[in-house]
Amino acid sequence: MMRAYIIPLLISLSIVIVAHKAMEAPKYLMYTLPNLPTPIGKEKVLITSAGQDPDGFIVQRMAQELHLSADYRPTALASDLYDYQTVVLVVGYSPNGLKTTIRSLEEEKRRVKAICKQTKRRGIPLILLHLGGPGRLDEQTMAFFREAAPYTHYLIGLRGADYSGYLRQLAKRYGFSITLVQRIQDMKLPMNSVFR
Amino acid sequence: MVKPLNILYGMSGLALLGLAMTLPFFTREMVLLLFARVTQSIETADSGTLVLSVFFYVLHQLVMCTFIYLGALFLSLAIVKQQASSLFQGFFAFIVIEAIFVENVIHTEQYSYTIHLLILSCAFILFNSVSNDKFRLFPLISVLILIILSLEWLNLIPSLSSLGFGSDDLATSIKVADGYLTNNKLLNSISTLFFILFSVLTLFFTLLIYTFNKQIHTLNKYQEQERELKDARIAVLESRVFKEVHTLVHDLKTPLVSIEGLTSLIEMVLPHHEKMKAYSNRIQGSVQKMKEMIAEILREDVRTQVQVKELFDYATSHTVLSHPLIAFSVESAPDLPAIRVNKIRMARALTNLIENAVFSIGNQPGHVVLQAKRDDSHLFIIVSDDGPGIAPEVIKGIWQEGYSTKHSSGLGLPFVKAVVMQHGGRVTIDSDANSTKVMIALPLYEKEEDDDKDSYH
Repeated sequence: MMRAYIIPLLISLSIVIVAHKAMEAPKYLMYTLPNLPTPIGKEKVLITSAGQDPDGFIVQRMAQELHLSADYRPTALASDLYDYQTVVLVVGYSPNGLKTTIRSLEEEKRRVKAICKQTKRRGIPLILLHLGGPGRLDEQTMAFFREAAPYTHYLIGLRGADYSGYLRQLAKRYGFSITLVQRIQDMKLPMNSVFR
Repeated sequence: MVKPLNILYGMSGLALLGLAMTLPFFTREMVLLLFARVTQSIETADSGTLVLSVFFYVLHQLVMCTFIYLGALFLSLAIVKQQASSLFQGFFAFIVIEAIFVENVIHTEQYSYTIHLLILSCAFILFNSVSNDKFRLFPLISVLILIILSLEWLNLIPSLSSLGFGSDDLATSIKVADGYLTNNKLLNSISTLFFILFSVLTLFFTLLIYTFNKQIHTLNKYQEQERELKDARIAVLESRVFKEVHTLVHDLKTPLVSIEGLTSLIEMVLPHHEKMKAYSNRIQGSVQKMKEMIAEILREDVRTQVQVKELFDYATSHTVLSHPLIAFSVESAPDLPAIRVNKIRMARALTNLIENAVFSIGNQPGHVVLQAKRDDSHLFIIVSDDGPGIAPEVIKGIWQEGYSTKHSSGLGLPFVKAVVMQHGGRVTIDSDANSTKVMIALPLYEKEEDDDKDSYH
């Protein structure tokens, strides 16, 4: 009779172990800042997406709440940057979001790379935002991070998402500041610190 | 050889898995609309729109997972019958995980494996706890769907995201939107609530089905025992009746001896009374016949040599054949040899068959034929009628004692079979929608052998 319950018990046990590891990791917050000590960005701000998840709309609303002069253009091109002083790149790969743009993943990667290069060329700060949590830190999203990291000045993300320490390692490697917050609403403070 | 049911299971399983794989192509527009709703809820800060998206998401997941799990269940059933076996569960888990993997690859998605490990755990507990005969397929499928429905809500609990729950695009988008709009309070509460609600419902439903099936099982067991008891009662009754008849027949010997003795005495007293002598001879003849009959009834192994026509005459003389709509005819081949049978018992067997044939035609016009023919080694006695025939499921039980479709004792055909078998023969029934033919095959013996044995024991 006991044999019948061994497999379900083993599965449950493995889930508990993973849970324990997941709960443990976010406590480790070395190399992170609560917010930027001095502003690095100026208005007007271009908010664009890397991966076309709907999180860009949230950043747009947060910018409105912070009274920032900002445009949300999810499919903006490098040539559109002439009018802006700061670029906020909302990173998160969404297959459904990409379907609505009639663009392939490769085209999206090329667009993001071109924007990143253009920010360096024009000397404007590049701010990365990651709102997606652990579910949105997949291989494709990490590819976007790898693409943008060399050009990044500041990254704001969620503590719960970076339980593997991937974002903190990127920040250390490329020398940019990183702030990890508990909740999405808490991102407004570090975001404000970029400009004021 | 592969059973047709297994082929059906296999085909159904493949079809369902195929549907699951292609479902995102059919629901593409709906998913994009759902995605737009999530975006709209952020833009308008409307958590109501988000709640609607949540219900559509769960429905979409339920349909997809149902196809995958039922497909896996049917495919596993096609290969292994016992759900509690490790082989069955291994196949089941392998097919489910492979299907999720293929979905993720084809549709570049991130469907959570954690939720499926949990669903598989619950499914294994279900498979192990209920045996096949106590839990039929339809209730099993219903419980499985309820398990999927309740556990799918875990995908939308943001607190569980770090465990890998709800890692697909739609679930993540919904949770992020909720994180912004309500700090995840809305999804944490409604998803937990619905998870608990459906889990309790699943538990109650499972217990209800289990109890119901157990009762059905117990009822079937009682019916089986009742049937066995009835068979035993019939056997006892038959044995008692047989003993009484046996005693009665045996007791008839005494008055017969008296009649025989007194007839001889009358002959002696009136030696010149011709008329009385003739009467006396006839009485003696009848007494002799009665003694033969008694001997045959009392001893099953008694055989006498009779002509087939004589046997038929004897059998039909004991049958009421005056039905106005049913024609009765006797057909026998000219070259038939005499046979060695227990005339009384064989005639009784034929009478049973003729009565059954007449009964089966009922009040319709019809025809009953008693026929005899031979080949090199057998004599065939055939009783056929053009009645409505016997259903295949009735034919299975027709030779069992107590089995009857006309509210009789159910001993007629078993008696026929017993008599034929005592004569080293066999009896078969061939029936379709328009006729029934009962054929008795009796072995033919050589003349010399017959002569040796042509005596009472």
